[in-house]
Amino acid sequence: MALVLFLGLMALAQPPVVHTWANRIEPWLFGVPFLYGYLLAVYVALIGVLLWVLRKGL
Amino acid sequence: MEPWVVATSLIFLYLLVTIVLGVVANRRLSVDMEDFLLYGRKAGFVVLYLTVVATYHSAFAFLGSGGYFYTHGIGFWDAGTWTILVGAITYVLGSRIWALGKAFGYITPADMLADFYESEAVRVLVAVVSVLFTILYIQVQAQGLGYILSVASGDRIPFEVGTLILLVVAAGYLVAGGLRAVYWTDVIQGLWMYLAVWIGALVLAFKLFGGPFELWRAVAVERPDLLTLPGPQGFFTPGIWVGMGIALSFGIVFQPHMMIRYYSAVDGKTIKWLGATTPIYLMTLYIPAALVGLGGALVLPDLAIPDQVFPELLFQFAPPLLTGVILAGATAAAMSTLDSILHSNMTVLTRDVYQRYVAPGATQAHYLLVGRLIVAGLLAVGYLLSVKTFAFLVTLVTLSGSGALQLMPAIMGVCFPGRRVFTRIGVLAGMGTGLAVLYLTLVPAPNPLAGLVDLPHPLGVHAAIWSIVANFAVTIVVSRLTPPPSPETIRRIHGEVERFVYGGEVVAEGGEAGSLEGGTFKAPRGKAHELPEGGRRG
Repeated sequence: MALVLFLGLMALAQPPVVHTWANRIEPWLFGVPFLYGYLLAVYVALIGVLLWVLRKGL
Repeated sequence: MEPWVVATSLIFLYLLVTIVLGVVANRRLSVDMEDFLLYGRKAGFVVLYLTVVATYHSAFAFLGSGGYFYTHGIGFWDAGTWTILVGAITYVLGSRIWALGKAFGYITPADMLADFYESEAVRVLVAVVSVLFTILYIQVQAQGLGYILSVASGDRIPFEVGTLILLVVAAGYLVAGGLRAVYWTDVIQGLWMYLAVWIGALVLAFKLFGGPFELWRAVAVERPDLLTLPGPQGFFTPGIWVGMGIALSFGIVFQPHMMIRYYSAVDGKTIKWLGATTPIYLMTLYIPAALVGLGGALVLPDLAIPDQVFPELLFQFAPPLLTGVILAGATAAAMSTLDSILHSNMTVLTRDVYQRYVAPGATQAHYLLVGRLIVAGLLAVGYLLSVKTFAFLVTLVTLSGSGALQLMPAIMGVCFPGRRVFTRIGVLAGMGTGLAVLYLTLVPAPNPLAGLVDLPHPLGVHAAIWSIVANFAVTIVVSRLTPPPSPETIRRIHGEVERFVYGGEVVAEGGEAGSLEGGTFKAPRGKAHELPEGGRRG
């Protein structure tokens, strides 16, 4: 489960997603351009998965 | 007082602090190779955390990242990928490497690989690859240090002299105090560089644009080409994005200075904590770096050396005292990595080459002396490279990571037990092929492919990807045709991995591991899973 979640989120931070759908300035997210804000959100979620795995002791 | 005097004085004050720490560490040092090389395998979470992050982030992160954001735009935010991958790799792979190091007394990456593949040729090739490619890393730090001191002094201290001063100081405290000195200075350097880059970026953003969000809006108006992929020069193609992600995660983790940190941990739980939490520090350091690089592209659009954007902005727009404090943080970033790489290369050359092939059976004091002489030699090579050749700091680090990446199949073969085992000839052939493909896809000339394909990075795919795919393919095919390691070795090492992953680990109180006899580290072979007195199962 954790592995699937991690890989799924990582895929969202890789091509083709980042070079197509996410590759834009508008709309702004969290006060920053879309691509930057989108990636920041994915990265935070990935760190969340790592912390969850640690907490579960996997 | 003139600004350059304040800035330069603060950097020298910082250098004085590191020298004092080296001297204090020297007083705690025993004539013991394991203490000198591995901190006695007693590093706890806080020290290890700060030394890992400070070592991973170097001049490349402090100066190079700003330069890349400045030149190629938002594509460098790919950095989140590789910093988080470093955490995941540490969690899964680093903990296994720790377990094997603890069980069998490994000190260098080559110890582990040579033991499993039962091959001295593997040991030598791994040692050569480790040292060869991390020398580039020494060059990165040396260049970064030279930039900092020359900018801070307003070019009164020439690049060549600044590089030399800072290299000598880093080598000095390393030679005096070994890994203990490196770890102690890394604690200060890790904290200092993080605060410095955040404070510096925010001060500049507020002073020049009215705040970070206003900075983003100004970039969107004046340079929207910096805010989408593949960037103004078309650099961040999909193939480069993935390739840099792999080279700067796996490729850095497999370098000896990072693997030695796994060996030095007091227990496996510490490594897992590192894996889960280091990405928080590593990834968030690039948030202010984006502000520096993108803001700098608007304010100082014609910089000859983009890697100097951060110190140039500070020197021109920040108060002198703050500039000095922050540039001392940049010095910390470069020195914390430089000392670690000098230390790891010294370890590899002393342990894997000198102690084994040149003078086996000498005294501990003799090896310590040789190690210190090796540091001096590495210093000279790094210095000459830094003053003779120039390239983007990030480019050099990526090349360094791409080289170390070629150890990946061999390391995976040790750490992940499977039905099909990689063989000695398989991993040697794979590494050789990977290095050859790396050369062919990266070096423009002399190259037989020149004129036939675009170089470097043919078809927009990073050389790291071409080389590691070729490496894995050859390793797998050749391993199916050649004899595997002995069943006893496979059972011993893969059994230890399985015991660690599925059966619980053994942790000795105080981090005790093995013993030293006759100048050679004697591993507690076959006894690692026995519960030591005072120990516990994790």
